[in-house]
Amino acid sequence: MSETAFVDFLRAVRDDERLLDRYDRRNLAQLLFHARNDGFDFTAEDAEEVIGKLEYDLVTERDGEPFDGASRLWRSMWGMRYLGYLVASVVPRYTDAELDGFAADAADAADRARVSVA
Amino acid sequence: MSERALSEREGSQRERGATTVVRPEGRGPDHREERAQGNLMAFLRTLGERPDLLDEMKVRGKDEVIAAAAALGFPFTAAEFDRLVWDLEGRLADRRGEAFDAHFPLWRTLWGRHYLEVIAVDLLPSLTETGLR
Repeated sequence: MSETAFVDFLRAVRDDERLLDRYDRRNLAQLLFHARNDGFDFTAEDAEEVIGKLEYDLVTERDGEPFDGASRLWRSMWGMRYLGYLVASVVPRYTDAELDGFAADAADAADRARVSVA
Repeated sequence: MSERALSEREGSQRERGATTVVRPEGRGPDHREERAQGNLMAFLRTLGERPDLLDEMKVRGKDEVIAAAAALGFPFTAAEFDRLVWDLEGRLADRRGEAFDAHFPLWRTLWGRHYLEVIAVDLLPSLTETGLR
């Protein structure tokens, strides 16, 4: 379940400013390559599944807004690199237990999508 | 939550992405919105052509960028930016035959970069490449 590895990665960069600084400048291919070196084995799809669920929940449930171009969350992307935005504006809105829940949820959704395709 | 949420998200985004910019009803053609759209597109094109200006702008907050755009002669509001860019992103996904959801490949170009950079350097040229603008 590499959605869990991505959530572990988010927590690692959240808790280590130097690690965040290293990864924040990397493009997706570099990030995935180096993350695996560091023991975080996830794919782009895994990351997207988790991020999609977190952002949707944050906008619609936590902020109580429609999920569209005017959602407040997107304003916090400005001036930041992408990983920096996730660590500054998305991850802190959730407890570690909640993040684990989103990882499990994303893994279940990915499994169901694979089954329906098969 | 997950499947329902994802389904709602995709539905909402597709619906939103399939529409053109909404104008207030009963006021006839909204020339202000059209002017603002033209200003925003011209501003983004300028950023795409001037890496020095993009480097300066991409690290700023949204309000600062909008104020700087106005000072450069390209006035538009935050709401006008939100409506137009969301609409363009959704239309681009449609044109590419992709879902406008968490897996839309444009988001993959965000890693390591700033949001404004992706809009100016990847979204805007994509509109020309696909014949959308």
